Amino acid sequence: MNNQTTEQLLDAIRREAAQLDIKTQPEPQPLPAEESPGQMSFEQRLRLPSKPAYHYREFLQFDDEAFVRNAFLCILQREPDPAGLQSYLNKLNDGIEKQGILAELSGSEEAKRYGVRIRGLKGYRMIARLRRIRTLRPVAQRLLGLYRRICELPNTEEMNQYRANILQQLSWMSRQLQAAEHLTELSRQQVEQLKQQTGKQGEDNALLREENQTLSKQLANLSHKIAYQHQALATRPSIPAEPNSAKAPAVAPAIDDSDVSAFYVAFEDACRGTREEIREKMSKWLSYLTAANTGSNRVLDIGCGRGEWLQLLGENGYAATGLDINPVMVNSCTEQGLTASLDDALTWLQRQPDASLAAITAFHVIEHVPFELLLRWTTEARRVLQPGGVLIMETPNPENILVGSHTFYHDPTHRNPITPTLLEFLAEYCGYADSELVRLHPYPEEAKVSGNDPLTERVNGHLCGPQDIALVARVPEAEAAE
Amino acid sequence: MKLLVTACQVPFMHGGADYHIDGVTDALRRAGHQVEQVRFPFKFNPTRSIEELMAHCEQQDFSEFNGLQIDKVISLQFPGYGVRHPDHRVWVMHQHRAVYELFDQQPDKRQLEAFKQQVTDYDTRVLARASRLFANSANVASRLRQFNGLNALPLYHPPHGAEHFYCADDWEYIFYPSRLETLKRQSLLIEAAQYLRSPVRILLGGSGGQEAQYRALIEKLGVQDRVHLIGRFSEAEKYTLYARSLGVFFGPYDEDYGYITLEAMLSGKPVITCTDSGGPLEFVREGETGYVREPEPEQIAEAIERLYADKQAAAAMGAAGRESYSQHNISWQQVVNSLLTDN
Repeated sequence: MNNQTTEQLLDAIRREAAQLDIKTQPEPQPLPAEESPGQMSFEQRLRLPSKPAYHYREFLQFDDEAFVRNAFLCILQREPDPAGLQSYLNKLNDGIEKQGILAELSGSEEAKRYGVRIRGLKGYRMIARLRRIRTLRPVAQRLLGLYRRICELPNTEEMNQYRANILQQLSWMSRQLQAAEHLTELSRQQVEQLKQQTGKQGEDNALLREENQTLSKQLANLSHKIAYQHQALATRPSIPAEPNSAKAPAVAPAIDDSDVSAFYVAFEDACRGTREEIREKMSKWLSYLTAANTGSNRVLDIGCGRGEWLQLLGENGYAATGLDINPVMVNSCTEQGLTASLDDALTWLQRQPDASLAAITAFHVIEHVPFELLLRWTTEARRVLQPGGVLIMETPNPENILVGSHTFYHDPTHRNPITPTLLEFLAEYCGYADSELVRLHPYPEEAKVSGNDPLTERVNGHLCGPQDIALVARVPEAEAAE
Repeated sequence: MKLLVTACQVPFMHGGADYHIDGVTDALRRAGHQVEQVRFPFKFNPTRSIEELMAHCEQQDFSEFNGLQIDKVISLQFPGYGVRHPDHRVWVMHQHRAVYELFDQQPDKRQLEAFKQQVTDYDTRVLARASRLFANSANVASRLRQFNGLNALPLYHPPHGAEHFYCADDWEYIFYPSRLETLKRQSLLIEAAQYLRSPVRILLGGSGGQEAQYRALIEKLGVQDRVHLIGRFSEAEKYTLYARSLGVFFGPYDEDYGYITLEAMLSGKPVITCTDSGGPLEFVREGETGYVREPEPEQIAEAIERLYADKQAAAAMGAAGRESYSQHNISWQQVVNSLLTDN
C-alpha cells in the first residue's frame, strides 16, 4: 500500500465506503428551503367548478395561493392581480380566517356584478362588522371562536337551533350598534346647538361687562371727586369747617380702592412741589423730542398725574394724550381741557397703528409696575413710535444710596428700584438705538461734605448724587418700524 | 411516564451534544415513555448571561405544567440541571469547563474568579438536590468529586451508528478524526510525523478553527508527504477510514468522554492516547488495547513505529479493544435502565 499516493489511498477508501450497505442517518443538513407558493403549479391542484353559489366549506380544502386563486376565480371571475394575491396571502399568514377573506371578497363592489353567493358566511359577515368597532373587538373575537367551533359540528337539529340562536344574537348586537351610532349622531347635533347658544350668551355677557365697566368708572370718578374735595376742604385752615357741612357719613365705609387713591393724591400733593416748580423741571424734556412739525406730533404720557407735562406739550404744538389709573388725576386733567383717560397703557398702545407717535413718556411710573408689564410697554412702544421717536422713562436712581435704601420707600405704591443697567439693557433688547441715561436732581451743593479727596468724592457721589435717572431711547431713524 | 429532558441549545452550533440529547430522548421513547425536550438557549459570553440563566433555571418548578404531572426530569447539561423536580435525575454531560478543568488556561483568570465561585456553588447546590446523579464518564465523575465533593455514577452511552463499524486489513495510516482545535492537539501528531521512519501516513479528519495553523505547521516541518488534512467526510467514509487504519490517535487534553476511543474499539483498532487525555484513559489499557504516552511528539512517534513494526500485535490489540467494548455493556437500553431505576 505504501507505494500509492495519498490521493489513491483516499480514492480507495471512498470506493469501499460507497459499497457499504448502510442505511445511514443523514448528517444534519440545512433544512430545504420551503417551497414558496409561487413555485407551485396551480394546474396540479384542484380547481372548483364554476357555479352560481358555493358553500364556504368548499374553499377550505385549499391553502395559500390556491385558496386565494380559487376565491378570486369563483367570486370575481378573474385571476387575482399580484398585489391582491400578496395582500390576501399576508392576511392568511397573519391568521385571518379563510371564511373572513371569503366574506370580504363576496361583499365587495366587484363581486356584486357577478352575484356569486357564498353560503354559510352570515355569521362571519356580522362578526366582521362588530370587529370594526374597537371596543367590541374582543367580544367579536370570542364570538368568532365560538361560531367557528359550532360550524364545525355536525348538522344535527340541536346544532342548527344553536346556530340560529347565535345568528339571532349577532343581529341583535348589530341593531344595538346601529342604534348607538344614531344616538351618537343626535348628541353631536345637540352639542352643536349648545355651542351656538353659548356663543350668543358670550356676546351678551361682553355687552353687560362693558356697561358694567363704564358704570364703575363713573362711580369711581364720583367717589374720588368727593374724597378729593373732602381732603381739600380739610387742609384749608382759613375756612372753618361748618358743623353741618355734608361731610362723609358718620359711619366710616370700609377701606376701598377709592380711599387709597384719595390718600395717594393727598400724598403727592404733600411731597411734590408746586405746579410751577414741576413745569420748570419738565420743560427741559422738550429738547429731547423731535420738532412737532416733523412727522407725527402725537405724544403719550403714561401716568400723567395732574397734567403739567401735558400742558407743556400742548403749548409747544404737540397733540398729547395722558393716561392715569387714578380717576382724580384724570379728572383734574380733563377739567383743564387736556386729553386724558383712565385707560390701561398697554391696551391703549395696542390700539395704536405702527409708527404713529412722536414720543412716549413715563415719569416716575415704571417703579410702580411689575417688570413683565414694563417689558411689554417697552416692546409695544417700539412698534408705535415713528422713526426717530423717543421713549422717556424717569425713575428714582438707586445709585444714590439714600434713594435706594430710604427715599424710594416713601411711596407705599413703589415696588422696587430699577437700576440704570436694567434700563439700558431693556432698551437695547427691545430694539431701540442710541439709548441714553440722563441723571437728574443731585443734592444741592451745600448738602455735600466739603473737600475733594477721593474718599469725600466717593461719599458725595453715593450719598448726594443724582436722585433720579431717566432712560431716553430712540427708534432708529433709518428704518421704519415694521 | 411523562418525562422531560432538559439541555442547552446553542443556536446553529450542532455536534456531539445534540446526538447525545436526541439519543437519550429517542431511547426513552422507544422504552415507551412520553418524552419532551426543554432546551435553554445558551451563550458563552458575557458571563452575565450565564448568571441570569442559572438564576432562571433554579427558579423553575418542573413538577407539573398546567395541572399535568411530570413524573421525572432528566437533565444533561449546565445550567439546566438547576430546575426543580422531586425526582430529578441528572446525567452530567460536562460542567461549565471554563471555570473548572480549563480554568488555568483562561486568559483573564482574575476577572473570572467571582464567576467561577458562583458556578461552583451553583453546581454543588443544585446537583446535591438530584435524586440520582450520573456522569457521562468516570472522568466527569472524578471532576464532580474533586471540585464539588459530589459522588456521581459513570454512565456510558454508545457512539452514533455503533452497529456499522467494521474491521479490515490496514492500509498503513494513523487516523485522527476530530475538530481541528487546540484542545484536540492534532499538533502532537503533526510534530510526531517528523520522527517517523516507517512509511505510515497520518490522516487528520474534520475541520475547525486551527486548520490554518495546522496546515502551516505541516509546511513548516516539511511533513506534507506524510500528514494530510482530509477535511470533512461522509458517514460511510468514516466507517471505512476507521476500518482501514493501522491505529487511531486520540490525544486531546482532558476529554470528558470521547466517542473516538469507542469508535476505534468498535473498528477493532488500537488507540494511542496521552496520560492527560481524560476520558480515553478509562478504556485504553497500555499494551493491551493501545498505548498511553506522555504528550510528547517523540513518544507518540515511537508508539506509531511499534504498531507498524508488529502489525499482528496491533491487530490483536484492536481485537482486544472490540472485546473490551462489549464487556462494558454500552447501549442505550442500558442507559435507560440506569437512568430510570430507583436504585
